[in-house]
Amino acid sequence: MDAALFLAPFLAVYAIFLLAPVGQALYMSGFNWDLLSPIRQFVGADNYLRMLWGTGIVWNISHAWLPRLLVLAVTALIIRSLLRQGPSKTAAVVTGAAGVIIAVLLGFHPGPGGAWNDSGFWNSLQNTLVFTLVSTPILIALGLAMALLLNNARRGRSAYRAVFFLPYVLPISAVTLIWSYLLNPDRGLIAGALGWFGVDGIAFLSEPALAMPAIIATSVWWSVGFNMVLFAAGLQDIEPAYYEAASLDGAGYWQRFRHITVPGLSHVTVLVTITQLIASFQIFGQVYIMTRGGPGTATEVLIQHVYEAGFKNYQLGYAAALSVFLFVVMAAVAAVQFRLISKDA
Amino acid sequence: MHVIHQRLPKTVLLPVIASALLLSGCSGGTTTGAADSGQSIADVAEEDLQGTTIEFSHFFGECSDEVGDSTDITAVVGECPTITTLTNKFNAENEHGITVNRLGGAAWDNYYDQLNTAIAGSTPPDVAAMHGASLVDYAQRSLLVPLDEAVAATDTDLEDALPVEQDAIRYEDKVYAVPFDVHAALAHVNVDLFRQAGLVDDTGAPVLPTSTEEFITAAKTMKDKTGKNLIAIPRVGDNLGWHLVHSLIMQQGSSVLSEDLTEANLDTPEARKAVDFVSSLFTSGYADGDQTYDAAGQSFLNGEAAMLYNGTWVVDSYNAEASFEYQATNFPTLFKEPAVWSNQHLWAIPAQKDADPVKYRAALEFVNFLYENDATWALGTGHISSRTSIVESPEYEAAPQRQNYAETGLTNAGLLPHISNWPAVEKICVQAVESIWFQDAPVEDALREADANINSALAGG
Amino acid sequence: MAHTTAPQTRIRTKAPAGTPRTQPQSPAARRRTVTYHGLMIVAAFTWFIPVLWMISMALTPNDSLQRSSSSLLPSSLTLENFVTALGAGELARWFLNSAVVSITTTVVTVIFCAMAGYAFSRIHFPGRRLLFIVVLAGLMVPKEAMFVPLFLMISSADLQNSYPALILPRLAAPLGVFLMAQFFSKVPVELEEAARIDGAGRWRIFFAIMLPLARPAMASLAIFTFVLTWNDYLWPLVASTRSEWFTVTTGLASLQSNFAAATDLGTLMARGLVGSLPLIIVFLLFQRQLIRGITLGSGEK
Repeated sequence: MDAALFLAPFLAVYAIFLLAPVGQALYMSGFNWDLLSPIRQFVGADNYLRMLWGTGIVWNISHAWLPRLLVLAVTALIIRSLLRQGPSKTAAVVTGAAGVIIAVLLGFHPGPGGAWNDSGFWNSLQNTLVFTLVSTPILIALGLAMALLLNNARRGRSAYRAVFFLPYVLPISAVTLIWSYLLNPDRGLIAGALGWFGVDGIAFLSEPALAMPAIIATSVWWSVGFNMVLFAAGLQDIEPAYYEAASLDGAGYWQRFRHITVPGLSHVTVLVTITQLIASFQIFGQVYIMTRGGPGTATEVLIQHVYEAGFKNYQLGYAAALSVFLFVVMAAVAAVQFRLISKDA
Repeated sequence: MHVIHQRLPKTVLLPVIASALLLSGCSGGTTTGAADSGQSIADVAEEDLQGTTIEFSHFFGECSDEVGDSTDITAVVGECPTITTLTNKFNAENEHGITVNRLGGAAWDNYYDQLNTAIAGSTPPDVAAMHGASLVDYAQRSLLVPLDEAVAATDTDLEDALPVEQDAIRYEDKVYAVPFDVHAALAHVNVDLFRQAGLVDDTGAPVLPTSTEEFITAAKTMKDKTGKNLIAIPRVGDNLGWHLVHSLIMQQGSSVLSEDLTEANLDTPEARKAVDFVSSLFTSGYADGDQTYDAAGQSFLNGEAAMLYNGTWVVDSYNAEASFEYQATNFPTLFKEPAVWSNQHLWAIPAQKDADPVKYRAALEFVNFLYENDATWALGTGHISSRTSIVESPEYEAAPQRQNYAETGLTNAGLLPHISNWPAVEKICVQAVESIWFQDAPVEDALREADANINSALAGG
Repeated sequence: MAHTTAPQTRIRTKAPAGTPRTQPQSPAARRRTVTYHGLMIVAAFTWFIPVLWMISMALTPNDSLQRSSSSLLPSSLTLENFVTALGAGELARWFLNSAVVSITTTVVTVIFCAMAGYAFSRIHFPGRRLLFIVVLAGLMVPKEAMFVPLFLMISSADLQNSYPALILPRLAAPLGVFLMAQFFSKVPVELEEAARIDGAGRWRIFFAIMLPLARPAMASLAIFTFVLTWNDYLWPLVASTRSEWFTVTTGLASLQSNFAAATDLGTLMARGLVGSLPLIIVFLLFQRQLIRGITLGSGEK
C-alpha cells in the first residue's frame, strides 16, 4: 500500500509523458494525420513506405560497398568483444543478425530513373550519421586527453576543470550566438585572426564542405567537458598502487597508459560512448539555430526533418513515423546502456 | 540480468499498447466553425467594438524599441518601422476604441511554424500576416474567416486591388484575405558601372540584356571594361538563387507544376536551361557564387557588381545609401515572356474557437485601416502597392524609382501556383538547385528527384 | 561487469628496489611542473576565448561593433548593452519563465524520484523487479524524438503557452529513479529498523531519516536536472508559440534569426550573457554536485 503511494506520482508522469507518447507515435504513424485540420485517414504502412522506399528501387551487391563493409566490420568487432565477456551468445547472435541485415538493406538504392520517395529523409539520416560518427570519437578522445591532463595537476586542477567544463552549462542558444559570430566571415574573431595573415574570411557556415565541420567544432567545444568529467572520475577510481608498481617496474608513460589506464577505463569508455552516441544522434539545436540545415541540405538532421514534416508540412502522421524510426534506432543503442545499468542495479 | 533482459519486450510493449489505445480517442480537435459568420460580422454594432483588444502577428521584425509610440507615418522607411508606426497610429486614432497588440517573437523564417503550432493549439492570432502563396494551405482547411460579406461593412474596396491580388486573396471564389502589397524580384542597377562599360543608350540610360546570349555578352563586356561582375546573386543560404531560376523558367512559358497544378513539372528542358544558364554565370566568373544575402548586397553597394538580383524591399534603403547612381528596374526578360518571381503580403483573419463576431469585426477594422494606408506601406518599403488607385497615383509615380518598376507589379509579376503545399514544393525546388550548386549533383538527377519529391508532397497534403 | 580482468595482471610487478623517486623539488620535476602549467594555461585560455569574446562584445558599444567586431578586446567600454538587455525587450520575462520552469521541474523531479527510488529499494511488494525494469526501459526512449505526440497531447489539452506545458513532460525522469534507488539501497537497514522500533511509520522514516541522508544524492540530481531543463531547446520551441512564453533558451534563439542582430551585436551578446548567468552561477557554486550528478547520472558509479 505504502509502495503504491510512494510510486504513484512518478509512475503517473512516467506513464503519461513517456510511455504514452511512444504508443501515440506508433498509432499516429499509421494515419494521414493533418496538423491543422481534423483529417485522420488510416493509411496503413504508407508513411513508412514513403520514408523508406521509392520508385525504381534496385538492389545490388556493390552499391555503397564501403559503408556496408564498415557495418560488417563493426558488427564483427562488437561480437568479438561480446563473446570475450563471457557467455552472451544471444546478444552476439542478435548483433550479428542485425549487422548483416543492415548491410544487406544498404544495398537498396534508386536505379536509373528511380528516386527515393523522400530523399530528404535519407539526406538527413546521412548527415546525422556523419555528425554522430565524426563527433563521437573526437568528443571521446578529447575528453579523455583532457581528463589525463587534469589528472597530472597537483594544483589548480579544479580551476582548469572549471574552464574546460564551463561551456557545457551554457544554453545552446548562447553557444550558437557566440559561434555563429565567431565563424562569421566578415565580423568573426576567426576572420580577424586570418586577416592578420592576409587571408580572407572563410564563410564556414555557408560553405557546404565546411558547415558540418563547423557544427561539429561548436558541439565539441560545448559538450566535451561532460565527457572529460566522466573520464576524470574513472581515472580517480584506478588504484594508484598499479601506477606506482608499474613505475617501479620501469614502465614508461605510454606503457602505463596502455596497460593500466586503458583497461581501467574500459567501463567508463563504453558508457561515455553510448551516452555520446545517443546524445549526438539527437542533434538539433546547433543546426537549427546556426544553419537551418543549410547551405542547401548539407546540415539538415533527422530531428529537424521530423520538426519540418510536422510543423512546416502539417504532416503529423509522417512526422510520427519518422519519430518511430528514430526511436527504434536509438532504442537499439540504448539497449546496451540499459543492459549495463541494470546489471549494476 | 540475462533473463530480465530477454523478458523486456513484452513488459515494455504492454503499457505502450495500452496507452496507445487510451490516447487514440482523445486527440485532434482543431478549430473549425467560423464559416458563415460573414453577416454576423457585418452586423456588429459600433458600441460592442469599444474596448476590444486583438492580437496581431507578422513577420516584419521587432522594432518597438526604435519606433516607440510614434504615429508619424510621413517619413518612415523600412518594413518594421512602417508597420509598427501604422499600428501605433491605429491604436491612437481609431474611433472604435480597438487596441491592437503585436505578438512578439516570430522572425520571418519560422513565422509559419509558430502560426501552425498556434492554430493546432487553438490559439491563433486575431490578425495574421500571410503570403499569397501560403493562403490556400489555410483557406482550404477552413482556418480563415471568409470575408466576402464582411468587407461590405467596412467599405473595403477590394475591386481596387491589382489583378494579381484579386487572385491571391481568393480560394474557390471566396475572399480570405485583404491584400497589402506585391513584392517581386527586381534588377538593382549601378548606372555608373553600366556607363563605364558602355552598356548605355544615347541618353545614357543603362541597356539591360534581352536574351541569355546578350546577357553573357554584356557580362563579358562588363568584366573586360571594368573588371567587375555584371550581377550579384545571393544564392547561399537564401531562396533568391532559386527565385532567379524560377523566373527564367516562367519566362520560357514553363512552370514548376503541370497545367492542372496536380503534378510536378520541374524535370523539363526549360528548367534545365534556366539552371544551366544561372550556373554558367557562376562558373564563368560573371557572378560570385559564394555570396549570402548580406554579402551580395554589400558587394553591390561597394560597387563590385553592376547589378543585383534582389526584391522590392531594398529599393528605398539602396536609394538612400548607394554612393553611385542607383536605379531599380524590372528584371530583364531573357526569354519569350515577361515574368518574374513575386509574392504578396496579405492580411488574414484566422478562425477562432469561440468565433466571436466582435473580435472578427475589430480585426477587420484594423485590416481595413492597413489597406487604406497601403500607400504609406508601399512608399515606406519599396513594395508595389496592392491597389491600382495607388500605383497610378501621382504621389506614387513621383516616388523614387517606382516608375522604373511599375510594370513588374502590373504585368510581369504573376501568381505563384495557388495550391496547398506550395511552400513545401518551393522548399524542394530550393533544395534541388542547391544540391546542384553546392553538392555537385547532376542537373537531371536533381530535377528528377525534385519531381518525385514534389509529387510526394502534393500527394501527402 | 565485464572488466573483471584486473589491470595489474597484465604488467610485471617486479619492483627493482631503490629506484630513485623524483622529489617534488628536484629541478627536472620543477621544470616539468612549470611547462605543464604553462601549457595548461594556454589551453585553458584558448578554450575560454569564445566566452571572453562574448563578454568583450557585450561591453562594447553597438556602433563600434558595426565597424569591427573581430578583435578580442573591446575598442571602448560601455555598460549600455546590459541596461538595454535588461530594460527593453522580453528578456526579463524569459528569465522568469526559465526560472519557474527549471525550479519547479527540479523540485518535483527530485521529490518524485526520491519517493519512487525509495519504494523500489526499500519496500518489498509483488512485481517490484518487473516494475523497476519497466521504469528503466524508459531510458531507451529518446526524449527529443517524442515531441510530436507530446505536442499533440499538450495542444489538445489547450495547454500551449503555459507553465504546465513546459514543465510536465520533463518530469518523467527514469534516470533519477534509478539514481535514488541506487542510493537508498546502500543505506544500512539498521537505521530504518531502529526508527521503526521507535514507532515511526513509513512516511515519517522517509521524510525524517531517509531524505536528510539522501541530501547529497538529491543535490546532484537537482543540479543536473536544473542545468538540463534551463538548457532545453526543442520542447520549449514546440510548446510555446508566443514570445511571452519563451524561455531564455528559445528566446535567445529567436533573436538570432532576426536581421536586427547585425546592428546591435553588443546588446545581443549582453542578452546571451545575462541569460546564461544563472547557470554560470549555479555552476560556480555547485560545481562539485553537478559533476557528481553527471558521474552518477551516466551510471558510472
